[in-house]
Parts: sequence; structure tokens; C-alpha cells
Amino acid sequence: MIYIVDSFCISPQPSHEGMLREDSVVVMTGNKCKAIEPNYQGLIPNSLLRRMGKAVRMAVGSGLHLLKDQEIHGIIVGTGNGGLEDCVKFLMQIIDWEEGRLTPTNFVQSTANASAGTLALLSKNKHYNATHVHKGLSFDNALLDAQMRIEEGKGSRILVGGVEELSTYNFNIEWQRDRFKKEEETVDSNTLFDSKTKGAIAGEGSCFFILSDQPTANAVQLEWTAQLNGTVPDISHWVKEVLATRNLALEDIDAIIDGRNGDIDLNNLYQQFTSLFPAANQYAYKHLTGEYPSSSAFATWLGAQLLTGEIPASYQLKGGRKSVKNVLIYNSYLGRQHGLIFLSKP
Amino acid sequence: MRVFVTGIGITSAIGNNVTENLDSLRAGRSGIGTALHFDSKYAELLPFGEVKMSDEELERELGDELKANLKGCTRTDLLAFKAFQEAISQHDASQIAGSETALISASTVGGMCLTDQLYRDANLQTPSSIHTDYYSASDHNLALAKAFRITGICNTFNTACSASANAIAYGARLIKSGRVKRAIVGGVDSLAKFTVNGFNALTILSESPCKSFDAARNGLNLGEAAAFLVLEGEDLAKKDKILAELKGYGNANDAHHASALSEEGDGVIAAVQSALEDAQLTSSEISHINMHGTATENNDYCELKGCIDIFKKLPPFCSTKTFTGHTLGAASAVEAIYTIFSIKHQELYPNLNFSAPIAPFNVEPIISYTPNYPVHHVLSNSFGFSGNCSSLIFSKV
Repeated sequence: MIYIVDSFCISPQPSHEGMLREDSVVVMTGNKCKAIEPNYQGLIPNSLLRRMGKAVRMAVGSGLHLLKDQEIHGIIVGTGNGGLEDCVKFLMQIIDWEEGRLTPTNFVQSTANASAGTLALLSKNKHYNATHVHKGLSFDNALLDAQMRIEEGKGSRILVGGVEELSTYNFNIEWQRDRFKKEEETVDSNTLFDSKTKGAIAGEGSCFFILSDQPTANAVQLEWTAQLNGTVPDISHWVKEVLATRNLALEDIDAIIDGRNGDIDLNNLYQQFTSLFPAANQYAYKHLTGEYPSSSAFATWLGAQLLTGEIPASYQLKGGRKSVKNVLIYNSYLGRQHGLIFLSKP
Repeated sequence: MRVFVTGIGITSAIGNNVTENLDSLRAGRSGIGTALHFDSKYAELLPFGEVKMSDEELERELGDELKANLKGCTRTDLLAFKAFQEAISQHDASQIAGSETALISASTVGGMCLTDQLYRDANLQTPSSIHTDYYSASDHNLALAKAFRITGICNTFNTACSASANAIAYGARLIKSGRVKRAIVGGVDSLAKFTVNGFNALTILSESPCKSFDAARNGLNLGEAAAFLVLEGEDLAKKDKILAELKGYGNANDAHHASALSEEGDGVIAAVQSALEDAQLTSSEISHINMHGTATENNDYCELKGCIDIFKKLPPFCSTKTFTGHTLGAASAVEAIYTIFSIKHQELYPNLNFSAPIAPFNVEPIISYTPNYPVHHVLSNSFGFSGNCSSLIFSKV
């Protein structure tokens, strides 16, 4: 059995303060959701903080909280884009200086494994260390990696997280392909899911977890993950097949969290998913966090919150069930990558 | 569950396919020299391990159908497709499709080889280009999965220069855990202004062909390559297709510096030791080491320090980066294939450009092609930025 025993989440919501509350929900307007970052003073040395790109800063700023005073047998990060801002800053140096003498800071910071590497460096952790960059399944693979390490007996406590930064550059690249909504379209958290246009609102964040083979008082069980690559006409066949191989009936699912993001092209997919579970409580989050490749990390954090307490009504699309003992998370990235994560109360 | 290698494919500076790579290793023929296809001011100033095919030639090899589906793809994708197709050429493509085969790859630069176009797209300087779906490290993997209809577990690692070692290990673990029956694993990187300027800014590029494990070594040469291996569990692997066994793997972090190894060799020792433990072998059972051996001052010193700490007396070792240059995300997969050559043909390949050993170790790498050498278990090392150290062990079956 594998448990989520601790977590820390930085997102466009005040999640770094701990439990979410309805009176502190931030309503998003426009097409970009920027993370609310905590004060890193005292956690990250100032000299390092100044050089860190945003993805590294948020990853280190959330991961370090969980590495304190604990024996951790691995650091595993999922990030679809890594430090893209530093990448493009370095590209700009290359072009502006016509491949002249350049400073390497942006280059070193831009490598996707800088987050996991810096976490290892600052916590002097010499154990297993990996970075998964498989776009919308980056975090799902990080989770699977951690799960396998524990199953293999190669560690009993592992830090695993997903991080993404929203930079002008990745926004521009995705925006050109209609993956984010145009400025002139006025959407906000309350209207996003009724949108009739292509694209999501862009987001960012960093959610880290401690996975352990031993439960604690407020632990949540990570039961399994599943992934499907490619476009499919109807996702419900696959979901049913996955549940059947795990001996679960559709009625067994108490709550679902889906990754709908206001992109009209993906509505069908999420509709196919939710229609399988008419009796389940239903939640969504991208109207409050925006879309980003490793966003299933936020969904996992939200699922854990739901199983150990409450989450604000703003995340709930449909209620009904009083007691929630398990949560099925479904996220699709651009309709091309699909991930399921199943959590339960031990 | 034992995991076997049942297919290999490679494109590197010393050959466009498996046979050409093997011939070059045996002949001691390096691929490092003047780059003809790489567009950078450094193409004239520094030697590179460039694949000897133009983008147009690589595209032609794809065939019309794939070519039509890969509009806007980069050299990285073209290299990946070439090596991937060779790796699966002995397998039935219809068996690879579906959810029972995993596709686990690695890349560091991905489509950022189109440095200038990415710059324009990121700054909205031109109307949307056709390349925007091919910039990321994972895009070659998504394209491969789509083309070969692999729908199950797919993943891309970027742990810098050890990335494809982790991809290979991950594939094996998925098989061992029963999650898939087969995994196609490997990595790709192409020459890019991005990496060349990055390594140049760190002042670790040599102006001459790299001299791994030589006292006068003065930096690395960047190269490009793609390499893929087909891994199958013992219940699936056909005896006549088995090339070697993937016996063990280790991964550790050096936790010392963002772009250098610790002089005590901590990460090296931890990675090698965990690979030995995983393979249930002692260091004396290792017949040969394919070193990371980039030829930087730091790497070769720290790698020797760490390995000597474990082995006391080193088995014959070499760095094949003296043939291919450092191919970054592809390096571990390229070198995995070279270790498989050593196992299959019972022979060792030279470490080129060596003349004097590094003090205080005074150890010499293999300096000439050595046929008829008994090779049972081979260790292959890979170390990357951010302290990422990985080792693989392949064994004779």
C-alpha cells in the first residue's frame, strides 16, 4: 500500500497556506492565472533565490518544506516544460550576441532537471533522482515512478511533485495554436466552463507530495494510476476497461475530479467521462488554476484535500453523496494524453 | 522476471545504422570532425560528432506516409524515427501497436535545435510556424507513439546527460512489475545552437577531438544521435532474437554542484553500487566498463576516482565518446548498444586519442580494438547536470 502522507501546493489559489477555504477563493479573469507564491525567505538562501527561474523556485519552495527533518529515499519531478523562461532568455542571448561569449546561468537553470537537482543539492539527498518531461503525463509518470520504487523495496518515503511555470514564451507558443483563449474574450472562473471557443486559460503551479509505505493519521491512499496515449473517439470505453481490471464498478466511485478547461474541443471528452458516474460528486479546478501540462498534480492535491477534509464549493460542480471514500481523477492534455489517478481513504 | 534486449537501432556520427556503427568501432574510425549540416558559427570553429545525413536525406528515408504526418518536425524527430524503425525492424509492427508495449524515451534539447525559429515563435515575431508542436523534449516520443499506434505507457526523461539510462531502466521496471510486456527505450538529441552555446559558456568544449581519460584532456565535443532498444520480458523474448540481458540499473544524485561532479565521486559511487546491488553482482564480476568519459577535467577525474574506489583494480574501460562526441540525452542508449556489441561479439573497442594517464590514478583505457575477449557483464555509466548519475549493467545470456 502506498500513501500520500504530506503535501505542499503552490497555485493561483492561496493553497500554500494549507486547506482551501471558500472565502479565500480567488476568481480568475483574463487568460492567464499566475501562482500566488509564498515568501521563500528563510527557506531558500537569497543568493540562490535570485538566480532561480520560476519553475525551479516554486518546486524548491514547495519540495523543501517536505524534505525537512525526514529521511527521503528519492526525489522525482514531473514537468512538461521545465524552465522555459530561462531557455528563451538563453536563446535571446544566443541571437542578440550572435553566439558570442554568453553567461551560462540561464542555460543551467533552463534544464528540466534543475528542480529535482536543486532539491537534492539543498537537502543533501543522494538517493534516486529523476525528472519526467512527458507533457501532460509528466506528473502521472513521476507518480508511477515513485510507486514502482516503493513496490520494488527501493525506498519507503519518496518526494514526488509536478511543477510548471507560466512564461510569456510558452504562452505565446501555445497561444498561436489556439490552446489559450484570446485576450478579447472575457472569461472568468464563473463563466469558463460555458465558453464556446477553443483554448483554455493558462496556469501554473507546483504541488509536491511525500509518498510512503506507512500510513499516518491524515494519510490518503494512492491506489493506482493509468494512462492512455493518443486521440480516441470515446474515452468512456477505456475508463470502463481500466476500472474493470481493478475490479471496480462505476457505482463504486464516490467522487470524480476532471480536468475540463473551457476548451470547446475537449468538452465532449469530459462529458463522456462524467456521464459514466451520474451518482458521484463532481469537481473541477482549471477555472481556478488554469491549464498546464502537469496540472494533474493539483488535481491529486485537491483529491487528497477532499478525502481528508473539505474543499470549497467553488470547485464543486455537483454534490449529493455525503460520504466520499474514494476519488477518481481524469485529466486529458489536448485530447492526446489521458491520465487516471485513483485515491482512497485508508 | 528477467529482461532481455531483442532489438537495437542506432544513428550516430559513426554510422547511420547498427552495422555501420559496429564497423567504425572495430576500425577505430571516429565520427568527430567538421560539421556540414549544423548551422552555427561554431560549425567552423569546433569539431562535432555530426550524423552524416542531411535533414532531406533523413526525411527521404521516412517514406511518403510518415513524411506527410510529420510536417514541421525537426532533425531530432527525424533521427529518432530512423533509429526507432531499425530497432523494431525484427519485430512485427502490429504487435508493437496497442497498450502492451511501453515507449520510454529521453531528450534534453528536443526540438530546440530550431533555435532561431523557436526564438521567433516565442516572441510572436512571425505568424505561427509549422514547428510549434515539435519544440519540446517529449515531442519526438508523442510523434513515434502516434505513428506506431503505441497507446499504453509512454514517458520521456530529461535528466540531462543520463536521461536515456533512466529511460532504459524505467522500461525494464515496467516489464518487471508486470505493467507491460515490452518496452521500446532509448533517446535522441541533435546538434543545436542552444546546447553548443550553453556548453561553450561553461567553457567545457574542446577545440580538438576529445581526449577522454588523458592527462591533457581539455573538454568535450558535442555530438548527435538517436538510439533505441527493444526490451522484452523472459516470457515474451524469442531466444534467437536475444542480444543481451539488462541485468541491473542504479540511479543516485551527487548533490554537489549544478554542473560538476564531486571530487570524491559520491554520485558515481552511489550509482555504480546501486547498479551492482540491483544486478546482484560484485565488482569483480564486471568484465568491462563503458565510461561516461566526456573528457572534461572534472568528469574524467571524478569518474575514475569513484570507479577505483569501488573496483580497486579497474577492468578494461573506454569512453566511446571519443568516436561519437557527447550525444547528451542519447548518450546512454548509444553506449548501451556499444556494450551490447561487446557482449555479442566478445570484443572491446578502443578509447581514441589517449596518450598519457591522469595522475594520480595512472590507469590506461583500452587503446586498440581487442577481439576474442571474454565479456560477461558490462557496466555503462552516465552522469548529467544537476547531479544526475546513472549506471546500467548488461550481461551475456
